Amino acid sequence: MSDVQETVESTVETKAKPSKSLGFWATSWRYYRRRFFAMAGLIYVIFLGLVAIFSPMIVGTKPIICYYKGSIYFPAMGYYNPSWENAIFTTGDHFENRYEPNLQKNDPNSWAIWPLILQDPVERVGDDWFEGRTANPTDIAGGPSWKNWFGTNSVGVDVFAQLVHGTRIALLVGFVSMAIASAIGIFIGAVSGYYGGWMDFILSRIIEVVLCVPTLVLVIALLATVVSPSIWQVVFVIGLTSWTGIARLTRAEFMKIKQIEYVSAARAMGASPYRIMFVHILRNALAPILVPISFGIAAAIFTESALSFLGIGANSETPTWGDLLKQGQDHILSMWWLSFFPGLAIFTTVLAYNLIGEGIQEATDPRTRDA
Amino acid sequence: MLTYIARRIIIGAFTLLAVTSLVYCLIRNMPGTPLTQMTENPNAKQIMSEKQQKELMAQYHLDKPWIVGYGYWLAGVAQGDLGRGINPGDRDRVTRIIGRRLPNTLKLTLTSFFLTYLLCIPMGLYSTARNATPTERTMAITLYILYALPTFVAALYMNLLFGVKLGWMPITGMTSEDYYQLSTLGKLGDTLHHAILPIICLTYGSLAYYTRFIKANMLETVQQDYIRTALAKGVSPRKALVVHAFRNALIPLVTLIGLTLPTLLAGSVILESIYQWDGIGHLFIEKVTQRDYPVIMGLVLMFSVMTLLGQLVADVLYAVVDPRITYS
Repeated sequence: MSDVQETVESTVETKAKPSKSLGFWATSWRYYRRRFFAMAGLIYVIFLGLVAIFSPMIVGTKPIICYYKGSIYFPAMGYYNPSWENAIFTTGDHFENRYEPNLQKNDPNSWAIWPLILQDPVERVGDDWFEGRTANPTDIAGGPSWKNWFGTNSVGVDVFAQLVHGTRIALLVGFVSMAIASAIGIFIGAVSGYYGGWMDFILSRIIEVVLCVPTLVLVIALLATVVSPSIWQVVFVIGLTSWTGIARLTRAEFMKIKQIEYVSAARAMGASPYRIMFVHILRNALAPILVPISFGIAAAIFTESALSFLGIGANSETPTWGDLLKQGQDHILSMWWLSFFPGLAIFTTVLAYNLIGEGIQEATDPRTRDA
Repeated sequence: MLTYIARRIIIGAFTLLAVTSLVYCLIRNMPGTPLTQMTENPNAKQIMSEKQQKELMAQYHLDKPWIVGYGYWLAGVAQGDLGRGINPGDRDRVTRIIGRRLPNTLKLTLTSFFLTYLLCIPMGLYSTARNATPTERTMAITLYILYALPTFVAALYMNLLFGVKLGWMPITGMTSEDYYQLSTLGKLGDTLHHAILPIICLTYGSLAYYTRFIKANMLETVQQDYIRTALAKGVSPRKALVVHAFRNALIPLVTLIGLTLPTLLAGSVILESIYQWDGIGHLFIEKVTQRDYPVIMGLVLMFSVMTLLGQLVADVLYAVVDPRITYS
């Protein structure tokens, strides 16, 4: 009798403290994690992010940290932004990127921590840059070797260094342009879907207008209004032209969700339309919207490289992946490594973002979750 | 249905108005005019006197604000006149300039279009029938990779392999140097030889997309009751798949045909510039750099009409194929 009592009590006890059930995002992450290709894509993008952040520490000719004339400097920061390179090395003592010999010559007590690979993404490493290292080969002689993993271009700049530093631009283009596109797309789609009526009619026409002209054609026409576009202008133009998919999906989701009772409840409680749209509805519409955003990042990276490849892209000091591929196209008959490695970088990155998009789609949609 | 189509056409006309005025405003605000672009060019045939320049400016309404120029352009279009190219190298009618390039683009896009549909249907049906077998998995992964592969990367890789390494294919141009000495059959073969790589580049992406699309639709369809009924009646699995299920999976495919209409005429800017293929995409880039306003406007008008028409055709076909859908 007491035994039974005890077991009943214990079951009651366990029932009294129910474990908290997983939220939507935690469940989705559980399903996402099970997908091998989606995870591979995610890990690859994280890897690229790390490469981008630490690019000056991976490849470069400027020391990460150096001790010079009594102070500690971080010259490698110059790779992020030329003005961050300490003036003492550039306009002060005129190192002209030849750090090793100049450090030794000007201050025998100096020391430096160097990047893993001593190559520069902009200039050819010459004979006098490092002791015991010969200059980079040029033209046909510059095939892949132990010194230049992915070869060198026609003027002797290391391709691996260019690719690693180009990762920063590629990821930046993807994220920033899609941030712009999502902001525009979500706003237009939300207003159009929530209000409906004539507002929807007008906004749908605006979407149609942008959709009417092929994206690349529109981007080329917009970019032609700037004489020599900077990378930010290219990113802005890509963002400005690639929001239609996001807007259309947001509109459809909002039209669906605004019918649910909780929206009426929020309205009855006096919530403003903007609060309902961007606090209440958007939370529930976010999962499907993430899918075109992820595909959009892939498309933005593709568009940017295509523009550079066509020779109408950004003017940046660090070459973009598309610039590299253009060199490859120009020297296709003799220097295969100039097209092979940059092409591989663009392809794998676009593939990874596509895999992530597909993974999100399958993990957040209850119909495909268990497949 | 007719009222629906009429309404769509009226709305479409306003959309066209918005697109063209926007693009006209945009191109007029590009730095440089067709005339400055001409004088910058050292190969320009004649250096124009100031008077001649003024006359030309007036003739093309470049001396007036963009909105007035747009008005003139619109008036011309209403009378079926798209104007003439400004560039001295090509002062022909815009319709003629576009018409000269269009066959080149169609050679690629039409072949690619038929190739895609010819291959994607059997491939889609095959992957449905053999779903989740190792062969199908490999095929699905390959198709996914192809879908994500950017065209210019594929073009360069194929050029490296088939053009440079193996030397089988020409990597640029539309014809060989000795084209005009060839016989008719030889000319055809030569054109085909030059077109193979661009056609493959144009096809693989859409082929991968459509095959995946058909498979996704078919997998949904084969789970429906009427397929089970058909199988229970003793219809062979092959017939159930091809005759019973595929008919229904065709519906979304039909709308896709409408949506590919604009890409048929627009061609590919990237591929045409890699392969130096004198098509519409190449023409567009060329004319944007020359600031040849009438030709750019003609091209944009063509793209947008085709896009709107494609959407309309898709929606109408949707109703034709699926009797459950009606428009009022």
